[in-house]
Amino acid sequence: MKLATHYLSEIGGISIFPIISMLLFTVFFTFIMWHIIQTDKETVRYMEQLPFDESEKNN
Amino acid sequence: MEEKFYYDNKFVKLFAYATIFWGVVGMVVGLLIALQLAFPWFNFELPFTTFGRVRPVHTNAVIFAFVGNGIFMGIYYSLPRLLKTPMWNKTLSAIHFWGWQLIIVAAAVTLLMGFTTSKEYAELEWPIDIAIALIWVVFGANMIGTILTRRVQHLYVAIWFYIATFVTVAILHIVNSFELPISFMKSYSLYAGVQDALVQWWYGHNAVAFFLTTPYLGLMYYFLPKAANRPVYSYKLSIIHFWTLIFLYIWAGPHHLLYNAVPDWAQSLGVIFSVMLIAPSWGGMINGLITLRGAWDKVRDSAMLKFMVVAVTAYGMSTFEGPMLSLKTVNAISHFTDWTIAHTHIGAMGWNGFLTFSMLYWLYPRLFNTKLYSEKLANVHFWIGTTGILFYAVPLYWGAFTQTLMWKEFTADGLLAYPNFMETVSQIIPFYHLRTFGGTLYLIGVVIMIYNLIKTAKQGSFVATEEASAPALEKIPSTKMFGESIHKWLERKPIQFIFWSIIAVSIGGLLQLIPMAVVKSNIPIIESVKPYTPLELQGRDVYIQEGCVNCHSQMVRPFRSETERYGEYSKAGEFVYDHPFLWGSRRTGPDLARTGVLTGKLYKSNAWHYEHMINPQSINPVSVMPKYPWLAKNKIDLSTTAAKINAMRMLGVPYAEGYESQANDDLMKQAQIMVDGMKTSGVENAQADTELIALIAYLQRLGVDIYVGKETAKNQGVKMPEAPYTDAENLGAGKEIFVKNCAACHGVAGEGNKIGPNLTDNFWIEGGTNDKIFEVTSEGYISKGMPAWKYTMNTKQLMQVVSYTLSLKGTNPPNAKAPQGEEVK
Repeated sequence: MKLATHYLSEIGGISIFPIISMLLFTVFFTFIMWHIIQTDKETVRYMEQLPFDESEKNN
Repeated sequence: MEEKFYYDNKFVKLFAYATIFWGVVGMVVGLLIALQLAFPWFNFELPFTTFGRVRPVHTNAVIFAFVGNGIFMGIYYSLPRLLKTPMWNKTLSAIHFWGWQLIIVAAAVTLLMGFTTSKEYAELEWPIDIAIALIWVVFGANMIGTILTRRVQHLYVAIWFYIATFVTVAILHIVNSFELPISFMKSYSLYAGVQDALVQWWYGHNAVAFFLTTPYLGLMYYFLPKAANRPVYSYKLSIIHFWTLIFLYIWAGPHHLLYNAVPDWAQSLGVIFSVMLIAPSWGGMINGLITLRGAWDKVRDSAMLKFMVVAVTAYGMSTFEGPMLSLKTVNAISHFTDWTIAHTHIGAMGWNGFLTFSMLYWLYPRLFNTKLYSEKLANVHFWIGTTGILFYAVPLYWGAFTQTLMWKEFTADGLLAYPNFMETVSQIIPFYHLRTFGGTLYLIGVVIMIYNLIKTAKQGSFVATEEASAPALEKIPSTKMFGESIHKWLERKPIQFIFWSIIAVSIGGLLQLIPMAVVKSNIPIIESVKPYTPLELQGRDVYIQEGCVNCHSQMVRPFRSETERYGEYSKAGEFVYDHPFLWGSRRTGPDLARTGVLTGKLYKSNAWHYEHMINPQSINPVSVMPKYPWLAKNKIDLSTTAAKINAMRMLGVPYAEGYESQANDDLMKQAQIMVDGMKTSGVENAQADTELIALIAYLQRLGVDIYVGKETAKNQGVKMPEAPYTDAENLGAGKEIFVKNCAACHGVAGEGNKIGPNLTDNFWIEGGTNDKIFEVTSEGYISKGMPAWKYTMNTKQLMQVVSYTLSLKGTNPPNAKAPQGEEVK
């Protein structure tokens, strides 16, 4: 694929795109993980029971 | 204060009917195209029953009609119950339901009529594209309205998946459908070549992601806990599953274009993000399966849960296989084979199909306030369906490996072991029989389900509305409260939530597509690449109309096995005038990227193409290509030529100003020259102004541009290097070469046919000396359709086949063709 790489390598700073991509994902993923870790048990229990009616509440 | 309200089951029921009905239609059409591949007779020699037009009906029916209605059925049931409020607006529900069904009918009719953009899963033409966008917005408005009028503060994870589905499909559909209409039901893609390919597969991949996956994951997160009567195993895991999945999915599109003429960095990005996708996908699968921990006894007793378990497992298998197929080394083997087809069917039959069936088995008793008519029949359906999937997929995997290995095998002399593409197709036909059997089993299972569901409905009575009550939503501040986490705040702020979902899915799309937008000026301009002539342009539209792209790729990858078979590998700069691109994704027939190259491996004369298009089996009896006799009769629509030239110019194709007014004259001139030339090869009745002539003109243009000025000159006066062989070993080898390469035009016994002359008599067109016969074999007689075999055979092989040919003299085979040329005593 020399040819395809060749013309794209001539676009100024093309390598910045994949780098931005990975950075964005890392930041995004870290934020989600941080958020998950500090979510308290009660909230989780409340959320996971949402599909059930009062009469069907269970563990 | 408790409020009373009523869930409306009417549209759940209607969508259920629709998903069943279109499911059967989609599967029956699937069975038809499976039969067509095994037995070309099933193309029926009619335009609207031919594989190229029927295959998109199958894919669209299964994706947008069967699964689409399945999504809406599940959402119209679960969304109100998760939010404790009815669907927002009944009129919108009705418009949504009937609009969607009308679109499906319009899609099926127009695709069969040959109206297609040729872009996979986006084949529908522009008026239908607009209708889809409108109805999709109606669905979205109804869903968001429901969310805004809810009686539950927070949105359950299933609803996030529904929201992501709505916003992403809207973005994908709109961006990929930018096209310039030239008439009612005909348009050209705004993008060309490489850009069109990247946009299309950004769309195509995410149509799978956000139409077949995210909504069904939402449904899984609702129906699986409901059916197992226990909450999802890990709600935290489902949050990670959601955000990482939607963030990563959107990047993965370029993995459909590995080793194609697209930039390396885009390919690498596609690979990396595809591999990373394993993590959230498997997180989701494990979350679904472990939800059933301690409840496996229920699975034994409930067919519905069995379907669910296999569906989730199939999701896990597909999402493992997908990243594997994205690895360049694996993709080099799998691309263009039935491996892709097997992979998609594990997803469609296993994940989407089985999850839909499990929802239907769960919903019907509740909608009709009764019990399932027969648990036993549901179990029969389960086992017959599972067996069907195995019989469908396993033979296709086997066939795919067989074919790809044959494509890539070289002899000790360094030549292709199977130079005739047809051999590699004939070899896998038995697998197509098994696959058809598997599909039939799967369909029988669905028929059993329909009987079971009808009986269930009959023994109960339909519950049109269900009464429920819940306290009204208390007003709480819309700003983030003290001590409230950001995500929890988001979960009660749907509009902000939608906004952030759009951001998450847009990042990947933008970072891929923005560089592509600047590519155009950076594609190395290949001076010799010129716009199509008017005749070729019309022929290209015939190619699109007949769906040739469903079986023929136009993309030679940079592998020796491909350049040996087809010629020079494809360059990005060759496609700058291709609106739309026609690279294809499956090779049921050979690649056509270099068919027009005179010195190429696949070059055939106009006369050959003419006879072959009308009746491929007359030239190659084992060919599975459909017959296209109507193309020789249908007239080219000359009234569209000017509009097409104008549209292309507007898109940046450099036709001179005012050229549109002389385009038809040029078109007729070129066609007439072709027809006159074909007369010398024995085709007397070809009409210049027919679609077939235009199509052949297009095929003869393919790949030619980069060879301009590079045709190897025909060597005159080549001599046979040694005396003809007479020993059995060499003549045997010669016979083998003859049957594989020469029989198509000269008959198996050298008796000649419509294309090539008789080789067993004493009459020779170019002279009958040993040297002359060797020269014609080696250098070809291009204008009459004889290829130059020196490009595919070494000297030894040329000697063997010429010696064998000479040994045929005087054998008087049956059906011998009348003499041509001069008699040689």
